[in-house]
Amino acid sequence: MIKNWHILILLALAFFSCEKEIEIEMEERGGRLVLYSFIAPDSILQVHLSKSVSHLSVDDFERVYNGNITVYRNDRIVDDFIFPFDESWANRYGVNFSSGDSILIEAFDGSGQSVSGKTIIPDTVPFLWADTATVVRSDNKDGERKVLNCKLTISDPAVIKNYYQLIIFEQICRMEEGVVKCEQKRVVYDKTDPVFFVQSKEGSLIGEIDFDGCFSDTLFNGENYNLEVDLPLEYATVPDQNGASRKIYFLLLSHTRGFYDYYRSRVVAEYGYDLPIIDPIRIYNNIDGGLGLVTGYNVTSDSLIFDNGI
Amino acid sequence: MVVVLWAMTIVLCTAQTAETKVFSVDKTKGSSVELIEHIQEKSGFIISYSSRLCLKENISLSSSRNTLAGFLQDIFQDCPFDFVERKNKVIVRPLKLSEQSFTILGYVSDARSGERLIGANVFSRNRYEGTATNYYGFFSLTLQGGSVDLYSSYVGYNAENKHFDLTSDTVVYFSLKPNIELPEVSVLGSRMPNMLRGGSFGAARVSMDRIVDAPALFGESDLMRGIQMLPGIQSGSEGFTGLFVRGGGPDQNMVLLDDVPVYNVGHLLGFFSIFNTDAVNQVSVTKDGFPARYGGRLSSVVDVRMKEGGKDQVGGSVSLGLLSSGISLDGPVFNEKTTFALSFRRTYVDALAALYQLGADDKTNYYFFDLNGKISHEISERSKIYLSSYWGRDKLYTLYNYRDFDVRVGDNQVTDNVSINDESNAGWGNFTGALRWNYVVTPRLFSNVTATYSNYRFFIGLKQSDETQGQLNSYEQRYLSGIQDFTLKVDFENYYRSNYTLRFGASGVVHRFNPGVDLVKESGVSGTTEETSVSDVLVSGQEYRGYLENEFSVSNRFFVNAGIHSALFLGEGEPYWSLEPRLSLRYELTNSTDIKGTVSRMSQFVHMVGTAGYSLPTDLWLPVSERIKPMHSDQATLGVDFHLGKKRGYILSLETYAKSYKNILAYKESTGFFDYSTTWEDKLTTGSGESYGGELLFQKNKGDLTGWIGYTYARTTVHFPELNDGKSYPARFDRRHDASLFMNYRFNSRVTGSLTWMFGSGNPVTLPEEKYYAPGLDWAKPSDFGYSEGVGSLNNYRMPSFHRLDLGVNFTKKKKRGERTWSFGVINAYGRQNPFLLYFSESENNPEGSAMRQLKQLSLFPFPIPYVRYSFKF
Repeated sequence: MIKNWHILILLALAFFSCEKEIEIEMEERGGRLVLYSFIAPDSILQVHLSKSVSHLSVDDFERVYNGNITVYRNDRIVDDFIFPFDESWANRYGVNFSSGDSILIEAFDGSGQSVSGKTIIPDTVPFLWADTATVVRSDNKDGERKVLNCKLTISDPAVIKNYYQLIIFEQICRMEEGVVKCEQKRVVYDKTDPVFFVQSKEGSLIGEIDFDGCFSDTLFNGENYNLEVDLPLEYATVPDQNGASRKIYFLLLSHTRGFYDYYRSRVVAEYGYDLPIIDPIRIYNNIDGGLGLVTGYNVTSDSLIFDNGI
Repeated sequence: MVVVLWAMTIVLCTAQTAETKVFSVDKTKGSSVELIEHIQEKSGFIISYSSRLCLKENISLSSSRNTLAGFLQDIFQDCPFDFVERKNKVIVRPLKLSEQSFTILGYVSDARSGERLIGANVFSRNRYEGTATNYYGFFSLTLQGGSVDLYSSYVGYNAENKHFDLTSDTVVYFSLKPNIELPEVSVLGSRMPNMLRGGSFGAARVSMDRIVDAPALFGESDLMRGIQMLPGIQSGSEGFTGLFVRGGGPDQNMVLLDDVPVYNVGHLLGFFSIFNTDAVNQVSVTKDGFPARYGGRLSSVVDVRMKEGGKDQVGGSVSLGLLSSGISLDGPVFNEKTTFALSFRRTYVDALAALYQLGADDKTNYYFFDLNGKISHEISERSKIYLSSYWGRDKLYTLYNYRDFDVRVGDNQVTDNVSINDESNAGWGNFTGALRWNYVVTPRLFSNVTATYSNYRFFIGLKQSDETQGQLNSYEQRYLSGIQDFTLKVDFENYYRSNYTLRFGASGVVHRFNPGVDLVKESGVSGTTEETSVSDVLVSGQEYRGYLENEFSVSNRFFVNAGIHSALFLGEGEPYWSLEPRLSLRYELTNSTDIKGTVSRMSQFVHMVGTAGYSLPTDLWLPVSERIKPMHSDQATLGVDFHLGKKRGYILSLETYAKSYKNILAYKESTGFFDYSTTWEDKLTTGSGESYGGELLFQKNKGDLTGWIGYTYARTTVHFPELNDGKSYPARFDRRHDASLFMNYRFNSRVTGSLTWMFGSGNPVTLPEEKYYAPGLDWAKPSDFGYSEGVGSLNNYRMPSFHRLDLGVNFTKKKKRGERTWSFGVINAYGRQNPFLLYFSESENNPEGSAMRQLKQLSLFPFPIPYVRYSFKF
C-alpha cells in the first residue's frame, strides 16, 4: 500500500514534469574487491570474488584475474587457492566447518588489493512441531479458504541475540520410467505472525516489505515461542499420481547479525531502486577493505510428508 | 557609650517626620477640612494646604492610628498630591499634570476592513515615547499628563494623529486608512526611531498584499511561498511549501493558526499551503531572537492570524482560479460588537478529471477543500472573546473494478440492478479550533486566555464490494495515523512604563499521538456490520511551558528583550525539562543605522518521523521517549540595518548567524523508513548539526516601484556517529547560495505588475557511485536486480542549481458593487528545467547495439505555465 502511495505521488508529479539527461562530474568509483561467502557446517564451501564497477556501467560486476583466496578456521589455514576467474563461485570440497568455528577469509588480486571478512558459525536452534491442522480462514477480502495451519515451537537460547529465517520448500517426487524424479519449489506463506512485524507503533497495512521470513528473537528472547504460519491447503494434499509423494520441508536457519543486517538492508535498498524519490540506502557489509559479506549460518529442518502409495 | 546612645535616641526622636511619626486620632469621619484640623492638633504639625486640592464633605479614615502621610493619603486619595515638610510645618499641594502619569490604552484597526492591526506603532511625537500593538491590536502607553500628540502608523497605511489633553487614563481607538498610493510591499516592520518595537523583535512581518499581488502557480496565492522568499528560509524542493529555516527540518517550524499549532500545512502533497489568503489577516515569521513567549520548535515560528471581520457592513470576496475557487464573507452579526469571517475554498480538479475520464475503467481523482471561520464578540471595552476554527481535507482516490449486479431488495423476490466498484484512497486533513478571551485587567495589564484543539489525520484506505446470494457485502480497511493537541494557555502583558513591558504566561499541552491503527469494517450478507481495529496504540505526552519576558530600553538608543522560557515534558518515559535563555539587543548607532544581536536556546519534544527529505502527509509525529532525547538548538545572530534614502524608503539589512543542533534525528543507514519489522525507535539515530551563514535583504518600500532583493550564504553540516562512517556531511538542504528578487510596479491605480525571480545553488543529493555483485541465495527469493548499489558517502553530490522567473499582472477596476481583479501571469517564464530528483537509467541515445547508463533529472513544471484568476471584492 505504501509503495502504491509513492507511485501515486510519482504519477501526480508526472503530470507536470519531464526528464532529461544531465552531466554531473562523478567520481570514477568501482574497482573495489567484493567478497562473499555463506558458510554452513557440512556444506560445500563457496566463495565469490569480484570487483565493483562504476554505477554508470551496464555490467553488474567485474571479474577478478589472479585472485587468491585463503581460508582460516580458528586461526589456522584450512584452504588456499586461486580464484577461478571464469566462475561466479569457487566450490571447495573437503573443507568442513562446525558450529562455533571462527572463520576468516582473506583475498587479494594481482594488483595487490586485499580484503578480508570473518564470521562465527552460529549454533543450530531446534524447533518442535507444536501442531498442524486444517483450519478455515474467512474474511470478506479473500472469502473463505482452507489453510494448513502449522505451529512450530522455537527454543530460543537465552542471553545471546538470535536471528532466524524460516524457509519452506515443497518437494514432489514422482516415479518416472523407474526413476524417482524430484522437483523443489519455494512455498510462499502468509507472514502474519508478529515476529515478522514488530508492530508496537506501526500499522500492519504499511508493512508490506517481505524480508523473506527473516526475523529476530526480539519478541521472545530466551523463551520458547510458538511460531504460526498458514500454508495454502494445496500443500497439505497427497499428489494425484500413484507413487508420488509430497514433502514440505521447514528450514529454520540461524543467522549471524551480519547476515540479518545485510539481507534486510539489501531488501530495503532494492525496494527503492525503482523509486528515485527514496534516498539510496547503504547495504551492510563486513568486508575490510572492500564490499560483500562473509557469514556463517546453521540449519535445523523438519518435514511433513504426504505419500500416495510409496 | 551611654552618652552616645542617649544622644542617638534624642536625634532619632527629634528626627521623626510626617512619614515616620505614628500617632492616634479621635475622629475618623468628617469633612476634609475638619479632619485636617483634627490631625493638625493631634500630630503637632502645622498643615497648610492648597485650595486646588479636592476637598470633600464626607471622608472616612482607614485607621485611627497612622502617620501624617498616611492620614493625608486617606484624605486626598482621589487627587494626586505632594507635600513638603519644613521644620514643623507640612505644606500640601496638588500634583501638576506633568508630574502625573496616565495610561493611554486602545486598539489600532484597519479603517476599511475593521481588522485589528498587529504590530502597529503608537507613539507620541512630543514625548518621544511609544509602543506597538500586540497580536490583538491592543496597546497601552503610560505618559505624563498634559498635551499629547499621539500618532499611529503602520506600513502601507496613512498615519493617524490624535491630539488631546491627558488628564486621566484614556481609551483611544485608531482606524488607519490603507495608503492606496503607496502600496505595502515591505516584508519587515517599519522603522520607528527611538521607540520600542513591541512585537517586531526578531519577527519579520510578511505582507499579505504582496503575497496576493505576486505571481502564483495556477493563480493560487500562497503565503508559504511568500515566506520562502525571505532570506534564510528555503523551500527544500522546488514546488513544495515546506520550510527549511537555517538548516532546520520542516518539523522544526511552529506554524500557528490563531495560536493553534498546525501539523501539516500542505494541500496537494505540499504544492499549496492550507492557508487561504482570503482568510488571513497577517502572518509573521520569527527565525532568530525568539522572544521568551515562544517555544516548542527549534527553527522558526510562523504566526498566522485569521481575519476577524469588519464591523460596519457585510462584505466579502469571490475568486475563481484554474485549480480552485473560493468565497469569503465577513461583517457584523447583529451589531458592531459581534463580527464574523468565513472563507471556503475547494478545488474542482475532480470534476474536470471526472469528465475527462468518462467511460474509463479506472478513475483516479483528487480534491481538497478548506474552511476558515471566526466569530468575535466585544463584551466590553476591556473584554473580547474569539472563536475560530479551520477544517481542511485532501483526498486522492482511485475507483476501479466496476461491475453490475442484480441485488434482492427486502424480503421479496424483487431485484434491482446496481453498479458497484472498489476504491483505494489516501487523504489527510487538519481540524483546529481556538477559543480566546482578551481581558484588560488594568489599563497596563492585558491578558489573554486561550484554549485550543488541533487534530491532524492521515489515512490510506481500501474499499471492496461484492455480491453473495443476491446481497451486497463490503469490506473496508483503513490505516489511520495522526496527532491531537489540547492546549490551555494564559498570557499577560504588563505595560509597566512606556519603556518597559513585562510579559509572562504559562501553557499546558496534552499531546495524543496515534502512530497507526488499522480499522477493518465488514458488512456481510446477514446485514450485520462488524468493525475491528488492529494496533490501536495511543502515545500521549504532556508539555508544560512558562515564560518571563522583559522588553525595555536602556536609553533612547539601546533596546533589550530579555527573558527565560522553561519547559517540562511528561511522557511514558523519564520526564524532560529545559531552561531556555533568550536575549535580543538593538542599538541605534546613528539615526539611520541599527546594530542588533540575539542569542537564544530552543528545545523540541515532538518530532516528525518521515520519509526523510520530503515532508509528506505520511509523516508521523511522535514524542520523545526513553531512547529519543529532546532536540535542542542554540543560535546567535549579529546584524545591522541601514535606513537609506531621503524618506528612508530603502532598508538594507545584513545579518550573520551561527546555530548548533543537538539530538537531531535521522534514519539509520541499513533500515530506513521502509523497514517495518523494527520499532520506530530502532530505525532512528541521533546526532548533532551546525549551521552558519550570512543574509542580506535590500528593500525599497516607497514609490511606484517597490520590492526587494534577498541573498543568503549558508552552510549546514550534520554529524551522526552511526551514519556516514561517523564523518560529518552536508545536511539535506545545505544550499550554499540562495537569492530572490521581488518587484512590484504600480502602472496606475488600476494596473500593477509583479515579478519574482529565485535562484538556489544545488541541494546535496546522495547518489550511488558503484555497483557490485548481489548473490542469489539458495534460501532466498531471487532478486529483481543482479547488483547492489554502493554509496560512497551521504549527500556526496549536488544537484544542478535552480532558477525561475515568474511574471504576473493584476487589473483592478471599481464596479458598482465592489472591485474586481483579473490576474494573469506565467510561472517559469523562460521554461527552466529545474531539478526535482536525480536517478540513473538506461540512456536513450545509445549507439545501436550498445548499452549505456546515464544520470537523469526529473523536473517539475519544466515549461512556462500560464495562469488566470478572477476575484471580486464587495
